[in-house]
Amino acid sequence: MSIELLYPLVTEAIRRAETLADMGAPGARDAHLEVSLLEEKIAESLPVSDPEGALARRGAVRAAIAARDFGRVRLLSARFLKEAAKSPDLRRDIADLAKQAESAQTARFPRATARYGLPEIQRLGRAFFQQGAPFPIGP
Amino acid sequence: MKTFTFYSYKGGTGRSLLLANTARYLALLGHRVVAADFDFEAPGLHYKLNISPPGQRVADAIPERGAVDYLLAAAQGDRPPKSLRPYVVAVPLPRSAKGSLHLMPAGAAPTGAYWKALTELLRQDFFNDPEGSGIAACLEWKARVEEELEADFLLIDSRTGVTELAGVTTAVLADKVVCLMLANRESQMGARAVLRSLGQAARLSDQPPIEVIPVLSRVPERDDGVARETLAFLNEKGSVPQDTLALKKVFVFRADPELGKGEKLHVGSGEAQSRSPLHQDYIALLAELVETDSEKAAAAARRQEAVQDTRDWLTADYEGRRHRRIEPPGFRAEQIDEGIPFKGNRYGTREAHYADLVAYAGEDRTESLLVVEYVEDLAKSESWKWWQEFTKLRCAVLVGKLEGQSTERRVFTRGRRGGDFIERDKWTGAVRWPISFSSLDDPGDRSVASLLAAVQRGEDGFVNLLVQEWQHAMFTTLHGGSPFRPLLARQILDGLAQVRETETEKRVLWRTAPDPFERSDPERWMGRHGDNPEEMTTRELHAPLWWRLSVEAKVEFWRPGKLGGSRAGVELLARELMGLSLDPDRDFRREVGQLLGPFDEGDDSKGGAYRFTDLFRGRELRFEFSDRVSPELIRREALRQRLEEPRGRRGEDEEPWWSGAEHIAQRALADDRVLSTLQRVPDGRVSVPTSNFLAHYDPASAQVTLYSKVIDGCSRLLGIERRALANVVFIHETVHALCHLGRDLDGRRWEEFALPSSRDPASRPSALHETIAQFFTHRLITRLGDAALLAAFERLSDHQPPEYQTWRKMTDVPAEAVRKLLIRARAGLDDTPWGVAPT
Repeated sequence: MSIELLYPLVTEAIRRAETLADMGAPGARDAHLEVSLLEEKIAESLPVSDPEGALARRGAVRAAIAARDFGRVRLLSARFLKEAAKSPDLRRDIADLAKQAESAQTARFPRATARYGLPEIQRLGRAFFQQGAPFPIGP
Repeated sequence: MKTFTFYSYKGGTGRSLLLANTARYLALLGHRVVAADFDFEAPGLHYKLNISPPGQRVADAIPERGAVDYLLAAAQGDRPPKSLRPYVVAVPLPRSAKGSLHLMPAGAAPTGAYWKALTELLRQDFFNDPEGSGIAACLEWKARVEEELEADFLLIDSRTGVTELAGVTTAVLADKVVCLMLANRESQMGARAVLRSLGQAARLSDQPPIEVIPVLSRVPERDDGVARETLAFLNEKGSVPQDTLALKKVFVFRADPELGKGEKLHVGSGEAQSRSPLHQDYIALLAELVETDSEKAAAAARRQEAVQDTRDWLTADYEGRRHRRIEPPGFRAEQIDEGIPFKGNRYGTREAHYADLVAYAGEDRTESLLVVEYVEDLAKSESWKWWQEFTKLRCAVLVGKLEGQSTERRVFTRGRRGGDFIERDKWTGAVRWPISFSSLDDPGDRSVASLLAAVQRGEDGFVNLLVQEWQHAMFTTLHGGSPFRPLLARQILDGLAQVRETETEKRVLWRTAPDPFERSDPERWMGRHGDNPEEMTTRELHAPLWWRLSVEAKVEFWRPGKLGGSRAGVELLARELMGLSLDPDRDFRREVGQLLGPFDEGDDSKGGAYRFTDLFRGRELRFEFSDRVSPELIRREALRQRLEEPRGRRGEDEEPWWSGAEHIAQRALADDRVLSTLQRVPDGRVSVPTSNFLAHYDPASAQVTLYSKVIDGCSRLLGIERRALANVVFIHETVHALCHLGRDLDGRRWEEFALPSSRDPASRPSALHETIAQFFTHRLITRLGDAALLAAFERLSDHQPPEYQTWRKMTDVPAEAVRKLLIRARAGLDDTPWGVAPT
């Protein structure tokens, strides 16, 4: 998909996500996720050195946070941090966004994260997810 | 905090009930307990724990919000809900319970709002989030239960089957999983698969392995073999080593039919049947689940037994209503609820008092009738004062129990209008149960039908109330009064006419008859323009009842000279239907006045009328029962003997022609075969005349004699209800008596108009007399509207001589015309229509 085609799409997606978020509509999270996906696509097309590419990477992570898809935040952050080895500003921004996502999660579950730690809960969540079923029933 | 999750692969295992009982038991032992309903698709723990306020049915008690609302808020918000409190409700416990019990229901189930919230929560796919948001929310919730509610125990009712939520509540949240299953492979296969997986399920790194307690529930009877088989099946070797379970024991819960009815076996609250096998099974499991303080456990058990004993005592089915005056009322099980915080309703108090049991009127639970409270020190407790001061209850029962002793109770009652409680009647020493408790099927149902049913059972305490109700329904006039409700009045009249016990019948007659002492009381004259409810009651209620109730009751009631007796019944027939007057007192006064007049003019003191009373009493109409054989039976037996005697055997002798027959005829009273023979006339037809056969009116003594045994025998042989037959006979003979004794309305008497003697060998019924008697008997029965009497009259007529049948042709003849016939016949005029004439 060409970059020319992606720009108007992401512009429209951002506008829709913001409008839905302002309205408190239930579809706002999905709209933000759509923004994050489009921004990721743009980021794939543009290098980190390109200002538009850096902007798209920040936008992809920020939109994932807005969509409260913290698994996606974690994956995107890790990837973009690797890519931004030579771009300290972008690294700092991405790291800040990752921290912001962690804070948001901690704020949602303050007692649980204080007791068990966010990584442990995330590990359990992933393990639970990877069981493939609510109970790891064998063959 | 220890967390127990109650899980079953299939439903119908009694899982929620076990959780509810465990929660109450732990709370009664002094622990702080939180029970959470995570069976979102079929929530019901709030029913089991009964969070309904007093006066509201359990089924009506819908929580405002619960776990679904909490988790949805957690899923949608950036912050957790501020407090858990809005999502939990406190479950009432006895005051003596040191612990506490909070319930987090699933939500406002089964409202539409609840299902929408649940759908929204599931749509979020919250528990399947790889980042663990759902798990984090549940861990957050559990931490808050421990911190905010300071719970010692968290009991979670898990969803059945294999669901994300069931996985979280068992594998992640639980310290112990109580897994219930039924004694069938379908249930056990699923349970084993889940139990095997729990050993390998993902858990927090510092969590110990899950402890599993398998429970085999609803086993028909104690069967260790089933437990062994189940244990062997669960422990069977798996396909991989880690799949193999190493369970040591399977707990068995036996089936309890009582449990199936209401699912209300609450251990430790008195709801359990302590002798129930299921109860024993519960106790065994609870001991396994938690280490209990033996003293506390014993106290909880004592309380449970005391309250259960009291429940049994309140619901016992006592034989014989009379005994219920000294026994507690026999409430139905569904009328009693337990564990109710009872709010005071006097002096503006909002204080609530815990009631171990509350008995309601009926099942709608709008009226509380009785409370039971368990107290530690029964002798010294003054807890009854609260019930007296702050409620309008008529009965409070305090119960207590000492170790190794039977349950003791103190019963406090008071009248309908309130006042202080009375523990014992000061004269009899017995508990003074409210009459509605002791007499009505449902003490709260004071409808006319309920009161009538009680009176018909012999509970005469409601006769007054029914008569008042009848007066209210009837006392309507052209100038005002109460609303006219003729159907209700008729219901009361018909209901009272169904009373069968003679003492109660007499009570009905006494209550409806005019009271000579109160007639002058102006307060009794409620109506305007001279309308008097007393007179109306006498005329419209007492008189019909007098005819419809049993002859035994009427004869008892009809005692000449007896204070309070009433001739209203006879007047209904004499005056209203026959146009005659029967007032021996007035006759006496008038005739003695005429006698005394010439001798004691101007000086009443010399010749008191009392000197003549004995002469006139003999002229009063009397009724009596006789066990002797009737004259017509003797006559028939005598004729039969004559027919069977050898020709010329009997010579001239001094004895009456019927002598010797009476002895033989007497056998008919004891032998229906003999009576059956004597019921027949020589041509073989059954012929049962009323007069002289079933009863007899003697003009010389003005006495009606009812031959009880002959009536009994004929009622059996003719298939007529005895009470109705006796009444028909009674009416018939009373008509004869009135034809003889009754005066015309101008005061003239016709004493010579009496039935002919039955001693004549060729005696035949008098067509004129019997036609008149049958006509007015039929008219009176029709006027009474009593179907049983009418059926008896018609059936008896079918077996009577032709002289008794003429009434059938006269059903459309006005009573006035027959009255005219009577008047002319008494005057000796013989132009009588309908083919009847004086014999």
